[in-house]
Amino acid sequence: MELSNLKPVSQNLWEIPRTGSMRVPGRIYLNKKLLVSIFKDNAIDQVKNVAHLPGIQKFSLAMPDIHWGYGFPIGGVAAMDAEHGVISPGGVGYDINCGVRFIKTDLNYSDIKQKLPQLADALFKAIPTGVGSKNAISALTHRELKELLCEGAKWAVNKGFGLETDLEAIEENGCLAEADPEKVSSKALKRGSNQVGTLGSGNHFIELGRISDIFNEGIADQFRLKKDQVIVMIHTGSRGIGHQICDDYVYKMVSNFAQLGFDLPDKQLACAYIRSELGEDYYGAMAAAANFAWANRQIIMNLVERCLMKELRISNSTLGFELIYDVSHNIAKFEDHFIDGTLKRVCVHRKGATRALGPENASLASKYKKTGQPVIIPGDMGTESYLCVGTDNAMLETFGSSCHGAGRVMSRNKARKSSNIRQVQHDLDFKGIIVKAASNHTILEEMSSAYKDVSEVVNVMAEAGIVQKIARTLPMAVIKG
Amino acid sequence: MKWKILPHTADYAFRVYGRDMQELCLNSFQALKESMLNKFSVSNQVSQVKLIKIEAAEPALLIIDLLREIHYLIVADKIFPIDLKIENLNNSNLRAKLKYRQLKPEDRIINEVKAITYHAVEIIRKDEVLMIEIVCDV
Repeated sequence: MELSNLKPVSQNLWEIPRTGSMRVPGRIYLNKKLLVSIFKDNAIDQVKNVAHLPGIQKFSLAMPDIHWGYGFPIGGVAAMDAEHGVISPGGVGYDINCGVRFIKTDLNYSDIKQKLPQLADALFKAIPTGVGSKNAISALTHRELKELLCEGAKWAVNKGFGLETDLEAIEENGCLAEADPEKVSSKALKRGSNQVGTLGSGNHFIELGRISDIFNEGIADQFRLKKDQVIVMIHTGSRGIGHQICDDYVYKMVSNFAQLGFDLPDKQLACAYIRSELGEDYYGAMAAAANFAWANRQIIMNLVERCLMKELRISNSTLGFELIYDVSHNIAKFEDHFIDGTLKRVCVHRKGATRALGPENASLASKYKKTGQPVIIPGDMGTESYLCVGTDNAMLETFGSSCHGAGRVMSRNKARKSSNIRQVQHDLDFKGIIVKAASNHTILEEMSSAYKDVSEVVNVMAEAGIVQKIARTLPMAVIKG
Repeated sequence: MKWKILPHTADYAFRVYGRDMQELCLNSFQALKESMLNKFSVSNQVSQVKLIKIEAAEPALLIIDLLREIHYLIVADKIFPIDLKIENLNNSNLRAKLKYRQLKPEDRIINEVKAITYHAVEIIRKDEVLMIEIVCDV
């Protein structure tokens, strides 16, 4: 694929014309600077591949953090006709409902500046991190785990992890009602039983940050955010249970694929008709994993709150911990969107993309009706992150979706080889950022130069009118897996 | 060369070589094992043997499903795979014996492979050598 094959639609939007067996064109949000890096791997071909899926509506979309994945690109969005279309586990990914939450505190940067090393150490000890991390709370019995899979974040709240009011600040209130634990294999249950409340590895993180800039005073006021305020972000997902559910169903759909009567350019796009038994089974299991992830982030948030109160010797009212929002990055959900002027039920696949509903959307809690849904876009561990809100234009152009982060530009293997831990640590120290990680490999893999410039990525979305920027945050202490 | 790591922006990919299908399976097993586990930290004292049976529509899928099975044993059953012996192999069936022991505290999972994907999987023959490229979600 070459640049000459892309047709400019507007300053930040490019179209891949429909060719061959593509059912719809592709569309990618990029500016000219980001466009340069996109041809280094196969991500654009993956946008084209997704356009082959039966039932896809309007466009196969990619957000500006697009990079090469498997099946779908990371940063990919596709909406399928809910009655006649397909559902693809490859369009959700293995880390089902990997997502991020943004929490405000009532603390000021100056309140904790001198205590950051102590807080980073305490958080690193309090939250299990790294490969196969486990036992943040007692291992659950299968019965308890199945209850969690049905109830999501509410299960965690009922067990004393957080408040009922947290739920309205979570996409879908932290629970997909279609979850069916009976569609989750015993293999997957085994991988999930002792991982509730754990961070995992890779790009997952807990970040203690501060607000450096406010772009929209009105909405920031409504969220009670101001400059130099301390915030926390938590990025993790459904851990081993989500990985296994995806693996189980990709296997089933690959095995069953010959029955469907159409061809696809990549086996990882294996799918089933949404209204088939296999499609419905996958959705029930995927929803269960999504609920696990919401409970996981809810528990970690509460563990972080308890840790900060203990280390700072302050009450919860002084800390003022309040969830601003929790968004999913890897999920398929049934939503209503206008297609050619008609409201239609579609199954929106977001793989490395964030829901970004505009104001007045019926799915939003009343406190977000005027502002639009908060959209959290983290950068890497050494750079800024953004809090935005969704817009009416996102509803028109992207099925209410935005980018989910900066997006990688360098492989993990190359990142390990292209720098050394001393240099990366020195660069972080220079910026005043403390990073604690389960392994030095993770710090190298996650260094800033392995990612796109998140400000560039967010500006593409803002200039295209998909999101509105509210605030920028800077990292102070980061816990990595 | 039995296998090598390939550049992949977000995930982890390797290309495996073999003179025939059996060698391709064994080298794929070796690639996964060395990608996930610290090979220098452990003794290779076998304590258990597991029979693995795979059935698939085509040879490339046999390899992916073999690796999926071994991956699960590592991450869920906490085993350290030592050796794989293929007893029977054709285009749609594979039967093998996996020698392993339980993971010990001194063993280290160096790469959290979440899953073995089917992304663009196919076996290619070039100059009498078979090749397969495997992408792992990390």
